[in-house]
Amino acid sequence: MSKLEPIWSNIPFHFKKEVVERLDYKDRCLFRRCSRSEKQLVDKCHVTLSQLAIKFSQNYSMFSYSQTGETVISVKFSKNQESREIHVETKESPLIYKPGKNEKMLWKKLKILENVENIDDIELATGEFLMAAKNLKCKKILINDVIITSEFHATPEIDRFSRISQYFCTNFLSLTNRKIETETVRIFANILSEMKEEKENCLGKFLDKFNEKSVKRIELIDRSESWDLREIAEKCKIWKNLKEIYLEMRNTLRVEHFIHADHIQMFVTDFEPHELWNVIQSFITKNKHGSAFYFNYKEDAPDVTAIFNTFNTLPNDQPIQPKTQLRIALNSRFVHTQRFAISPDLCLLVMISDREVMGTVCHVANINEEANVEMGLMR
Amino acid sequence: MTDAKNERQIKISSSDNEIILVPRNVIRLSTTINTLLQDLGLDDDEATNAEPIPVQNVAAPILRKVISWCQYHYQDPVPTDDSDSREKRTDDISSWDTEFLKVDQGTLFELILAANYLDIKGLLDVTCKAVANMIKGKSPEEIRRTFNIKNDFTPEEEEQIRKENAWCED
Repeated sequence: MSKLEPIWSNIPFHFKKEVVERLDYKDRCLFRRCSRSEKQLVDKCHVTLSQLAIKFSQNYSMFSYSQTGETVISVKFSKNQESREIHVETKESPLIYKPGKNEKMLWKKLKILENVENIDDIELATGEFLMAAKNLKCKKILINDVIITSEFHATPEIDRFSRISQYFCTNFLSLTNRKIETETVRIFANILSEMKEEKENCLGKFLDKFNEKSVKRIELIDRSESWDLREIAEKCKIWKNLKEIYLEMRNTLRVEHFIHADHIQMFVTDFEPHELWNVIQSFITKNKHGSAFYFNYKEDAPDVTAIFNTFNTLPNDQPIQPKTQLRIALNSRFVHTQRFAISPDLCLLVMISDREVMGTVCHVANINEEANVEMGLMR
Repeated sequence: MTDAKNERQIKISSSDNEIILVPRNVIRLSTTINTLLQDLGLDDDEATNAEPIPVQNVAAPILRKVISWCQYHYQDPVPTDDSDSREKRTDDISSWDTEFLKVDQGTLFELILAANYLDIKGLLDVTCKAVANMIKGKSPEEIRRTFNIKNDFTPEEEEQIRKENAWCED
Protein backbone atom coordinates (compact mmCIF):
# COMPACT_ATOMS: atom_id res chain seq x y z
CA MET A 1 0.00 0.00 0.00
CA SER A 2 1.55 3.33 -1.03
CA LYS A 3 1.82 5.98 1.62
CA LEU A 4 -0.38 9.05 1.25
CA GLU A 5 1.20 12.49 1.24
CA PRO A 6 0.16 14.24 4.46
CA ILE A 7 -2.00 17.00 3.01
CA TRP A 8 -5.64 17.98 3.64
CA SER A 9 -6.93 16.46 0.40
CA ASN A 10 -5.55 13.01 1.41
CA ILE A 11 -7.21 12.97 4.80
CA PRO A 12 -9.87 10.23 4.98
CA PHE A 13 -13.45 11.47 4.48
CA HIS A 14 -14.71 10.31 7.87
CA PHE A 15 -11.94 12.28 9.54
CA LYS A 16 -12.73 15.40 7.52
CA LYS A 17 -16.35 14.90 8.55
CA GLU A 18 -15.26 14.76 12.20
CA VAL A 19 -13.41 18.05 11.71
CA VAL A 20 -16.39 19.76 10.07
CA GLU A 21 -18.80 18.53 12.72
CA ARG A 22 -16.63 20.27 15.31
CA LEU A 23 -16.97 23.63 13.59
CA ASP A 24 -19.72 25.93 14.65
CA TYR A 25 -22.38 26.59 12.05
CA LYS A 26 -20.96 29.88 10.79
CA ASP A 27 -17.45 28.47 10.34
CA ARG A 28 -18.71 25.48 8.41
CA CYS A 29 -20.72 27.77 6.12
CA LEU A 30 -17.50 29.67 5.40
CA PHE A 31 -15.59 26.42 4.88
CA ARG A 32 -18.27 25.36 2.41
CA ARG A 33 -17.35 28.29 0.20
CA CYS A 34 -13.76 27.09 -0.34
CA SER A 35 -14.20 24.57 -3.16
CA ARG A 36 -16.55 21.99 -4.64
CA SER A 37 -15.26 19.11 -2.53
CA GLU A 38 -15.44 21.16 0.69
CA LYS A 39 -19.01 22.17 -0.23
CA GLN A 40 -19.95 18.51 -0.77
CA LEU A 41 -18.23 17.54 2.46
CA VAL A 42 -20.09 20.14 4.53
CA ASP A 43 -23.41 19.24 2.91
CA LYS A 44 -22.96 15.61 4.00
CA CYS A 45 -22.23 16.45 7.62
CA HIS A 46 -24.77 16.44 10.43
CA VAL A 47 -25.70 19.85 11.77
CA THR A 48 -26.14 20.07 15.53
CA LEU A 49 -27.90 23.18 16.78
CA SER A 50 -29.96 24.10 19.78
CA GLN A 51 -32.63 25.87 17.77
CA LEU A 52 -33.45 26.61 14.14
CA ALA A 53 -36.21 28.93 12.99
CA ILE A 54 -37.63 30.64 9.94
CA LYS A 55 -40.14 33.43 9.85
CA PHE A 56 -41.66 35.53 7.14
CA SER A 57 -43.05 39.00 7.32
CA GLN A 58 -44.48 41.41 4.80
CA ASN A 59 -41.21 43.09 4.02
CA TYR A 60 -38.56 40.62 5.08
CA SER A 61 -37.76 36.95 5.60
CA MET A 62 -35.63 35.79 8.47
CA PHE A 63 -33.71 32.64 9.23
CA SER A 64 -32.20 32.21 12.68
CA TYR A 65 -30.34 29.62 14.68
CA SER A 66 -28.91 29.13 18.10
CA GLN A 67 -25.76 27.06 18.41
CA THR A 68 -25.76 26.53 22.16
CA GLY A 69 -29.07 27.88 23.41
CA GLU A 70 -27.46 30.98 24.92
CA THR A 71 -27.45 33.36 21.97
CA VAL A 72 -29.26 33.43 18.67
CA ILE A 73 -27.91 34.51 15.28
CA SER A 74 -30.63 35.90 13.07
CA VAL A 75 -30.26 36.77 9.41
CA LYS A 76 -32.87 39.10 7.97
CA PHE A 77 -33.20 39.35 4.19
CA SER A 78 -35.11 42.28 2.71
CA LYS A 79 -35.60 43.43 -0.85
CA ASN A 80 -37.69 46.24 -2.24
CA GLN A 81 -39.80 45.19 -5.18
CA GLU A 82 -38.00 47.34 -7.74
CA SER A 83 -34.55 46.95 -6.25
CA ARG A 84 -31.65 44.88 -7.61
CA GLU A 85 -30.19 44.65 -4.11
CA ILE A 86 -30.94 42.45 -1.15
CA HIS A 87 -30.07 43.73 2.30
CA VAL A 88 -28.73 41.02 4.58
CA GLU A 89 -28.76 42.09 8.21
CA THR A 90 -27.11 39.66 10.61
CA LYS A 91 -27.16 40.05 14.36
CA GLU A 92 -26.42 38.06 17.45
CA SER A 93 -28.58 38.49 20.54
CA PRO A 94 -29.17 36.65 23.82
CA LEU A 95 -31.80 33.95 23.33
CA ILE A 96 -33.48 35.15 26.47
CA TYR A 97 -33.21 38.88 27.04
CA LYS A 98 -33.13 39.86 30.70
CA PRO A 99 -33.71 43.61 31.12
CA GLY A 100 -30.92 45.11 33.18
CA LYS A 101 -28.95 41.86 33.08
CA ASN A 102 -27.76 41.53 29.50
CA GLU A 103 -27.59 43.45 26.25
CA LYS A 104 -30.43 43.10 23.78
CA MET A 105 -27.93 42.71 20.97
CA LEU A 106 -24.29 41.63 20.95
CA TRP A 107 -23.46 42.75 17.42
CA LYS A 108 -25.09 43.58 14.12
CA LYS A 109 -23.78 43.92 10.58
CA LEU A 110 -25.28 44.73 7.22
CA LYS A 111 -24.21 43.28 3.91
CA ILE A 112 -25.69 44.29 0.57
CA LEU A 113 -25.98 41.70 -2.16
CA GLU A 114 -25.84 43.59 -5.44
CA ASN A 115 -27.16 42.61 -8.88
CA VAL A 116 -29.66 40.05 -7.67
CA GLU A 117 -32.69 40.26 -9.93
CA ASN A 118 -33.79 36.65 -10.09
CA ILE A 119 -33.96 35.86 -6.43
CA ASP A 120 -35.83 37.35 -3.48
CA ASP A 121 -35.71 37.32 0.30
CA ILE A 122 -38.15 34.39 0.53
CA GLU A 123 -35.87 32.15 -1.55
CA LEU A 124 -32.72 33.18 0.30
CA ALA A 125 -34.16 32.63 3.79
CA THR A 126 -35.76 29.35 2.73
CA GLY A 127 -32.47 28.20 1.18
CA GLU A 128 -30.53 28.94 4.36
CA PHE A 129 -33.15 27.25 6.54
CA LEU A 130 -33.30 24.11 4.41
CA MET A 131 -29.51 23.90 4.16
CA ALA A 132 -29.34 23.67 7.95
CA ALA A 133 -32.45 21.48 8.23
CA LYS A 134 -31.48 18.71 5.85
CA ASN A 135 -29.06 16.97 8.23
CA LEU A 136 -30.25 18.53 11.42
CA LYS A 137 -30.23 17.44 15.01
CA CYS A 138 -31.60 20.11 17.36
CA LYS A 139 -33.74 20.78 20.39
CA LYS A 140 -36.31 23.05 18.83
CA ILE A 141 -37.41 23.90 15.31
CA LEU A 142 -39.73 26.81 14.67
CA ILE A 143 -41.53 27.30 11.39
CA ASN A 144 -43.00 30.71 10.60
CA ASP A 145 -42.50 31.91 14.13
CA VAL A 146 -44.28 35.16 13.31
CA ILE A 147 -47.73 35.06 11.79
CA ILE A 148 -47.65 37.26 8.75
CA THR A 149 -51.11 38.72 9.27
CA SER A 150 -50.34 39.68 12.85
CA GLU A 151 -47.68 42.18 11.83
CA PHE A 152 -48.37 45.85 12.40
CA HIS A 153 -48.86 46.70 8.73
CA ALA A 154 -52.40 47.57 7.81
CA THR A 155 -53.14 45.17 4.97
CA PRO A 156 -51.41 41.88 4.46
CA GLU A 157 -50.25 41.31 0.91
CA ILE A 158 -52.14 38.23 -0.16
CA ASP A 159 -49.84 37.58 -3.12
CA ARG A 160 -46.75 37.58 -0.97
CA PHE A 161 -48.37 35.38 1.67
CA SER A 162 -49.41 32.93 -1.01
CA ARG A 163 -45.91 32.90 -2.49
CA ILE A 164 -44.32 32.35 0.95
CA SER A 165 -46.70 29.51 1.69
CA GLN A 166 -46.18 27.78 -1.64
CA TYR A 167 -42.45 28.38 -2.04
CA PHE A 168 -41.45 27.45 1.50
CA CYS A 169 -43.79 24.49 1.91
CA THR A 170 -43.06 22.96 -1.50
CA ASN A 171 -39.32 23.15 -0.87
CA PHE A 172 -39.59 21.90 2.70
CA LEU A 173 -41.68 18.92 1.57
CA SER A 174 -39.13 18.11 -1.14
CA LEU A 175 -36.32 17.65 1.42
CA THR A 176 -35.01 14.16 0.76
CA ASN A 177 -32.34 13.78 3.40
CA ARG A 178 -32.71 11.86 6.61
CA LYS A 179 -35.51 12.91 8.93
CA ILE A 180 -34.93 15.99 11.06
CA GLU A 181 -34.12 15.17 14.66
CA THR A 182 -35.61 17.62 17.10
CA GLU A 183 -37.30 17.48 20.49
CA THR A 184 -39.76 20.31 19.84
CA VAL A 185 -41.53 21.31 16.64
CA ARG A 186 -43.48 24.55 16.58
CA ILE A 187 -45.42 25.30 13.40
CA PHE A 188 -47.56 28.33 12.76
CA ALA A 189 -49.81 26.22 10.64
CA ASN A 190 -51.36 29.02 8.63
CA ILE A 191 -48.24 28.82 6.46
CA LEU A 192 -49.86 25.71 4.93
CA SER A 193 -53.14 27.37 4.10
CA GLU A 194 -52.17 28.48 0.59
CA MET A 195 -51.05 25.04 -0.55
CA LYS A 196 -53.15 23.45 -3.28
CA GLU A 197 -53.39 20.22 -1.31
CA GLU A 198 -55.73 19.92 1.67
CA LYS A 199 -54.02 21.64 4.58
CA GLU A 200 -54.35 18.67 6.97
CA ASN A 201 -52.68 16.37 4.41
CA CYS A 202 -49.93 18.89 4.04
CA LEU A 203 -49.43 19.11 7.79
CA GLY A 204 -49.24 15.30 7.96
CA LYS A 205 -46.48 15.35 5.34
CA PHE A 206 -44.72 18.16 7.19
CA LEU A 207 -44.70 16.14 10.39
CA ASP A 208 -43.39 13.11 8.50
CA LYS A 209 -40.19 15.06 7.84
CA PHE A 210 -39.32 14.75 11.54
CA ASN A 211 -37.88 11.71 13.26
CA GLU A 212 -40.67 10.24 15.35
CA LYS A 213 -38.20 8.93 17.93
CA SER A 214 -36.82 12.36 18.73
CA VAL A 215 -39.91 14.60 18.75
CA LYS A 216 -41.34 14.89 22.25
CA ARG A 217 -43.34 18.12 21.96
CA ILE A 218 -45.48 19.55 19.18
CA GLU A 219 -46.86 23.07 19.12
CA LEU A 220 -49.37 23.88 16.39
CA ILE A 221 -50.71 27.39 16.17
CA ASP A 222 -53.36 28.91 13.94
CA ARG A 223 -55.65 31.54 15.39
CA SER A 224 -57.80 31.91 12.30
CA GLU A 225 -58.76 28.48 10.97
CA SER A 226 -60.14 25.25 12.36
CA TRP A 227 -58.19 22.03 11.77
CA ASP A 228 -59.36 18.44 11.55
CA LEU A 229 -56.39 16.71 13.16
CA ARG A 230 -58.02 13.32 13.78
CA GLU A 231 -56.34 11.55 10.88
CA ILE A 232 -52.93 12.93 11.88
CA ALA A 233 -53.49 11.79 15.47
CA GLU A 234 -54.53 8.33 14.30
CA LYS A 235 -51.99 7.72 11.53
CA CYS A 236 -48.97 9.94 12.08
CA LYS A 237 -46.22 7.98 13.87
CA ILE A 238 -44.85 11.12 15.48
CA TRP A 239 -48.12 11.76 17.33
CA LYS A 240 -48.12 8.48 19.22
CA ASN A 241 -44.72 9.19 20.84
CA LEU A 242 -45.51 12.72 21.95
CA LYS A 243 -45.02 13.63 25.59
CA GLU A 244 -46.27 17.19 25.20
CA ILE A 245 -49.04 18.53 22.97
CA TYR A 246 -49.72 22.24 22.56
CA LEU A 247 -52.57 23.19 20.22
CA GLU A 248 -53.44 26.84 19.90
CA MET A 249 -56.00 26.18 17.17
CA ARG A 250 -59.62 25.09 16.92
CA ASN A 251 -59.54 21.37 16.29
CA THR A 252 -61.63 18.23 16.19
CA LEU A 253 -59.54 15.98 18.44
CA ARG A 254 -61.23 13.75 20.99
CA VAL A 255 -59.77 12.69 24.32
CA GLU A 256 -58.36 9.39 23.00
CA HIS A 257 -56.16 11.32 20.59
CA PHE A 258 -54.15 13.16 23.24
CA ILE A 259 -54.59 11.36 26.54
CA HIS A 260 -51.19 9.62 26.20
CA ALA A 261 -49.30 12.92 26.64
CA ASP A 262 -48.00 14.13 30.02
CA HIS A 263 -48.45 17.78 29.12
CA ILE A 264 -51.53 18.87 27.24
CA GLN A 265 -52.44 22.44 26.48
CA MET A 266 -55.14 23.00 23.89
CA PHE A 267 -58.29 24.65 22.64
CA VAL A 268 -61.31 22.37 22.95
CA THR A 269 -64.77 22.43 21.40
CA ASP A 270 -67.69 20.22 22.43
CA PHE A 271 -65.53 18.80 25.16
CA GLU A 272 -67.79 16.48 27.11
CA PRO A 273 -67.55 16.29 30.93
CA HIS A 274 -66.89 12.53 30.74
CA GLU A 275 -63.90 13.23 28.47
CA LEU A 276 -62.52 15.61 31.06
CA TRP A 277 -63.09 12.95 33.73
CA ASN A 278 -61.12 10.47 31.57
CA VAL A 279 -58.24 12.94 31.50
CA ILE A 280 -58.41 13.45 35.27
CA GLN A 281 -58.40 9.71 35.91
CA SER A 282 -55.56 9.21 33.46
CA PHE A 283 -53.38 11.83 35.20
CA ILE A 284 -54.14 10.27 38.58
CA THR A 285 -53.11 6.86 37.22
CA LYS A 286 -49.95 8.23 35.57
CA ASN A 287 -48.90 9.53 38.97
CA LYS A 288 -46.20 11.77 37.48
CA HIS A 289 -45.11 14.86 39.35
CA GLY A 290 -45.24 17.98 37.16
CA SER A 291 -47.55 16.53 34.53
CA ALA A 292 -50.32 18.93 33.59
CA PHE A 293 -53.30 19.64 31.35
CA TYR A 294 -54.99 22.85 30.30
CA PHE A 295 -58.15 23.12 28.23
CA ASN A 296 -59.42 26.40 26.84
CA TYR A 297 -63.11 26.12 25.98
CA LYS A 298 -63.51 28.07 22.74
CA GLU A 299 -67.26 27.68 22.15
CA ASP A 300 -69.29 26.94 25.27
CA ALA A 301 -68.11 27.54 28.82
CA PRO A 302 -67.39 24.37 30.83
CA ASP A 303 -70.56 23.02 32.45
CA VAL A 304 -69.39 22.94 36.06
CA THR A 305 -72.40 21.03 37.40
CA ALA A 306 -72.05 18.33 34.74
CA ILE A 307 -68.32 18.13 35.48
CA PHE A 308 -69.02 17.67 39.21
CA ASN A 309 -71.45 14.86 38.38
CA THR A 310 -68.64 12.87 36.77
CA PHE A 311 -66.39 13.08 39.86
CA ASN A 312 -66.12 9.98 42.05
CA THR A 313 -66.13 12.25 45.08
CA LEU A 314 -68.16 15.20 46.30
CA PRO A 315 -67.19 18.59 44.90
CA ASN A 316 -65.01 20.33 47.46
CA ASP A 317 -63.65 23.76 46.64
CA GLN A 318 -60.22 24.14 48.27
CA PRO A 319 -58.50 27.14 46.63
CA ILE A 320 -54.75 27.46 46.86
CA GLN A 321 -53.09 30.29 48.80
CA PRO A 322 -50.72 31.96 46.34
CA LYS A 323 -47.92 34.13 47.74
CA THR A 324 -47.26 36.81 45.11
CA GLN A 325 -49.58 39.57 43.89
CA LEU A 326 -49.42 38.26 40.32
CA ARG A 327 -50.31 34.72 41.34
CA ILE A 328 -53.11 36.00 43.59
CA ALA A 329 -54.56 37.92 40.62
CA LEU A 330 -54.21 34.93 38.29
CA ASN A 331 -55.72 32.56 40.83
CA SER A 332 -58.76 34.81 41.31
CA ARG A 333 -60.17 33.68 37.95
CA PHE A 334 -60.87 30.15 39.18
CA VAL A 335 -64.39 29.37 40.38
CA HIS A 336 -63.58 25.93 41.75
CA THR A 337 -60.40 24.12 42.89
CA GLN A 338 -60.57 20.41 43.59
CA ARG A 339 -57.78 18.23 44.97
CA PHE A 340 -57.63 14.57 43.98
CA ALA A 341 -55.29 12.50 46.15
CA ILE A 342 -52.81 10.35 44.20
CA SER A 343 -50.42 9.24 46.94
CA PRO A 344 -49.40 10.55 50.38
CA ASP A 345 -47.01 12.95 48.57
CA LEU A 346 -48.82 13.83 45.36
CA CYS A 347 -52.18 15.20 44.37
CA LEU A 348 -53.86 16.34 41.17
CA LEU A 349 -55.06 19.90 41.53
CA VAL A 350 -57.95 20.66 39.16
CA MET A 351 -58.90 24.31 38.70
CA ILE A 352 -61.94 25.54 36.79
CA SER A 353 -62.59 29.07 35.50
CA ASP A 354 -65.23 30.50 33.17
CA ARG A 355 -63.38 29.32 30.08
CA GLU A 356 -60.68 26.94 31.28
CA VAL A 357 -60.12 23.70 33.11
CA MET A 358 -56.60 22.88 34.13
CA GLY A 359 -54.83 20.30 36.25
CA THR A 360 -51.36 19.94 37.71
CA VAL A 361 -49.84 17.01 39.59
CA CYS A 362 -48.23 18.71 42.60
CA HIS A 363 -46.47 17.77 45.79
CA VAL A 364 -49.06 18.07 48.55
CA ALA A 365 -46.56 20.00 50.69
CA ASN A 366 -45.85 22.56 47.92
CA ILE A 367 -49.27 22.87 46.38
CA ASN A 368 -49.42 26.69 46.69
CA GLU A 369 -46.13 27.08 44.79
CA GLU A 370 -46.56 24.28 42.25
CA ALA A 371 -50.15 25.04 41.18
CA ASN A 372 -49.58 26.28 37.64
CA VAL A 373 -51.93 29.27 37.69
CA GLU A 374 -49.92 30.90 34.88
CA MET A 375 -50.62 28.10 32.41
CA GLY A 376 -52.39 29.21 29.27
CA LEU A 377 -51.73 32.89 29.88
CA MET A 378 -48.01 33.39 29.69
CA ARG A 379 -47.25 32.66 26.03
CA MET B 1 -1.64 2.83 39.16
CA THR B 2 0.50 0.40 37.16
CA ASP B 3 3.92 1.48 36.03
CA ALA B 4 3.97 0.98 32.27
CA LYS B 5 7.74 0.40 32.30
CA ASN B 6 7.34 -2.85 34.27
CA GLU B 7 4.70 -4.20 31.91
CA ARG B 8 5.17 -6.75 29.18
CA GLN B 9 6.73 -5.16 26.08
CA ILE B 10 5.40 -5.47 22.53
CA LYS B 11 7.70 -5.18 19.54
CA ILE B 12 6.41 -3.18 16.59
CA SER B 13 8.16 -2.12 13.40
CA SER B 14 7.67 1.10 11.47
CA SER B 15 7.32 1.43 7.70
CA ASP B 16 11.05 2.27 7.55
CA ASN B 17 11.85 -0.94 9.47
CA GLU B 18 12.73 0.57 12.82
CA ILE B 19 11.79 -1.71 15.69
CA ILE B 20 10.22 -0.07 18.71
CA LEU B 21 9.36 -1.65 22.05
CA VAL B 22 6.17 -0.42 23.64
CA PRO B 23 4.50 -1.53 26.89
CA ARG B 24 1.45 -3.76 26.33
CA ASN B 25 -0.86 -1.49 28.35
CA VAL B 26 0.24 1.56 26.40
CA ILE B 27 -0.37 0.06 22.94
CA ARG B 28 -3.77 -1.14 24.13
CA LEU B 29 -5.02 2.30 23.01
CA SER B 30 -4.53 1.17 19.40
CA THR B 31 -7.56 -0.94 18.51
CA THR B 32 -5.74 -2.15 15.37
CA ILE B 33 -2.77 -3.61 17.28
CA ASN B 34 -4.90 -4.75 20.19
CA THR B 35 -7.16 -6.78 17.88
CA LEU B 36 -4.15 -8.16 16.00
CA LEU B 37 -2.50 -9.36 19.21
CA GLN B 38 -5.70 -11.05 20.32
CA ASP B 39 -6.48 -12.58 16.91
CA LEU B 40 -2.95 -13.96 16.49
CA GLY B 41 -3.01 -15.44 20.00
CA LEU B 42 0.00 -13.33 20.97
CA ASP B 43 -1.72 -12.19 24.13
CA ASP B 44 -1.57 -15.77 25.49
CA ASP B 45 2.20 -15.47 25.78
CA GLU B 46 3.67 -13.39 28.58
CA ALA B 47 6.94 -12.88 26.74
CA THR B 48 7.76 -10.22 24.17
CA ASN B 49 6.77 -11.23 20.64
CA ALA B 50 9.76 -12.43 18.61
CA GLU B 51 8.46 -11.15 15.30
CA PRO B 52 7.63 -7.44 15.40
CA ILE B 53 4.14 -6.36 14.43
CA PRO B 54 4.50 -4.36 11.22
CA VAL B 55 2.93 -0.91 11.18
CA GLN B 56 3.31 -0.49 7.46
CA ASN B 57 1.89 2.98 6.96
CA VAL B 58 3.68 4.83 9.73
CA ALA B 59 7.29 5.95 9.67
CA ALA B 60 9.43 5.78 12.84
CA PRO B 61 9.39 9.51 13.79
CA ILE B 62 5.59 9.60 13.69
CA LEU B 63 5.23 6.19 15.33
CA ARG B 64 7.44 7.36 18.21
CA LYS B 65 5.29 10.47 18.56
CA VAL B 66 2.12 8.36 18.55
CA ILE B 67 3.60 6.13 21.24
CA SER B 68 4.56 9.12 23.36
CA TRP B 69 0.92 10.27 23.15
CA CYS B 70 -0.27 6.80 24.18
CA GLN B 71 2.32 6.72 26.99
CA TYR B 72 0.83 9.90 28.46
CA HIS B 73 -2.82 8.92 27.98
CA TYR B 74 -2.97 5.14 28.51
CA GLN B 75 -4.40 5.51 32.01
CA ASP B 76 -7.10 8.00 31.01
CA PRO B 77 -10.67 6.90 31.74
CA VAL B 78 -12.27 5.16 28.77
CA PRO B 79 -14.64 7.63 27.09
CA THR B 80 -18.28 6.56 26.98
CA ASP B 81 -19.44 5.61 23.52
CA ASP B 82 -21.94 8.39 23.00
CA SER B 83 -20.03 10.37 20.41
CA ASP B 84 -23.24 11.27 18.57
CA SER B 85 -24.84 12.96 21.52
CA ARG B 86 -21.64 14.49 22.88
CA GLU B 87 -21.20 18.18 22.27
CA LYS B 88 -18.36 18.50 19.78
CA ARG B 89 -16.16 21.11 21.38
CA THR B 90 -12.70 22.20 20.33
CA ASP B 91 -11.74 24.40 23.27
CA ASP B 92 -11.07 21.57 25.70
CA ILE B 93 -7.63 20.42 24.53
CA SER B 94 -5.42 19.78 27.56
CA SER B 95 -2.22 21.79 27.96
CA TRP B 96 -0.11 18.64 27.43
CA ASP B 97 -1.91 17.91 24.16
CA THR B 98 -1.61 21.55 23.10
CA GLU B 99 2.18 21.29 23.48
CA PHE B 100 2.18 17.87 21.80
CA LEU B 101 0.31 19.27 18.79
CA LYS B 102 2.67 22.21 18.25
CA VAL B 103 3.92 20.64 15.03
CA ASP B 104 3.91 21.59 11.36
CA GLN B 105 0.82 20.81 9.29
CA GLY B 106 2.49 17.85 7.53
CA THR B 107 3.27 16.21 10.89
CA LEU B 108 -0.24 16.92 12.15
CA PHE B 109 -1.77 15.20 9.12
CA GLU B 110 0.75 12.32 9.46
CA LEU B 111 -0.47 11.94 13.04
CA ILE B 112 -4.06 11.91 11.82
CA LEU B 113 -3.32 9.23 9.23
CA ALA B 114 -1.39 7.21 11.81
CA ALA B 115 -4.13 7.55 14.42
CA ASN B 116 -6.62 6.52 11.77
CA TYR B 117 -4.55 3.49 10.70
CA LEU B 118 -3.84 2.41 14.26
CA ASP B 119 -7.41 3.26 15.30
CA ILE B 120 -6.53 5.35 18.35
CA LYS B 121 -9.78 7.15 19.11
CA GLY B 122 -8.45 9.69 21.60
CA LEU B 123 -5.59 10.77 19.32
CA LEU B 124 -7.94 11.07 16.35
CA ASP B 125 -10.24 13.14 18.49
CA VAL B 126 -7.61 15.61 19.65
CA THR B 127 -5.94 15.97 16.23
CA CYS B 128 -9.36 16.53 14.74
CA LYS B 129 -9.96 19.34 17.23
CA ALA B 130 -6.61 20.87 16.35
CA VAL B 131 -7.48 20.92 12.64
CA ALA B 132 -10.93 22.37 13.38
CA ASN B 133 -9.20 25.14 15.35
CA MET B 134 -7.09 25.89 12.26
CA ILE B 135 -10.32 26.59 10.31
CA LYS B 136 -12.22 28.58 12.93
CA GLY B 137 -12.60 32.29 12.36
CA LYS B 138 -10.95 32.23 8.93
CA SER B 139 -12.37 33.48 5.63
CA PRO B 140 -12.65 31.00 2.72
CA GLU B 141 -9.57 32.55 1.13
CA GLU B 142 -7.56 32.15 4.33
CA ILE B 143 -8.73 28.53 4.67
CA ARG B 144 -7.73 27.83 1.04
CA ARG B 145 -4.26 29.23 1.76
CA THR B 146 -3.96 27.27 5.01
CA PHE B 147 -4.81 23.91 3.45
CA ASN B 148 -3.71 24.56 -0.12
CA ILE B 149 -7.25 24.12 -1.43
CA LYS B 150 -7.89 25.09 -5.04
CA ASN B 151 -10.99 27.15 -5.73
CA ASP B 152 -12.55 25.02 -8.49
CA PHE B 153 -16.01 26.60 -8.63
CA THR B 154 -17.26 27.48 -12.12
CA PRO B 155 -18.40 31.11 -12.61
CA GLU B 156 -22.02 29.92 -12.34
CA GLU B 157 -21.29 28.08 -9.11
CA GLU B 158 -19.41 31.14 -7.82
CA GLU B 159 -22.49 33.24 -8.49
CA GLN B 160 -24.67 30.74 -6.66
CA ILE B 161 -22.31 30.45 -3.71
CA ARG B 162 -22.15 34.27 -3.50
CA LYS B 163 -25.83 34.22 -2.52
CA GLU B 164 -25.71 31.13 -0.31
CA ASN B 165 -24.35 31.78 3.17
CA ALA B 166 -23.63 35.39 2.17
CA TRP B 167 -24.47 36.43 5.72
CA CYS B 168 -21.51 34.68 7.32
CA GLU B 169 -18.71 36.45 5.45
CA ASP B 170 -17.35 39.66 6.93
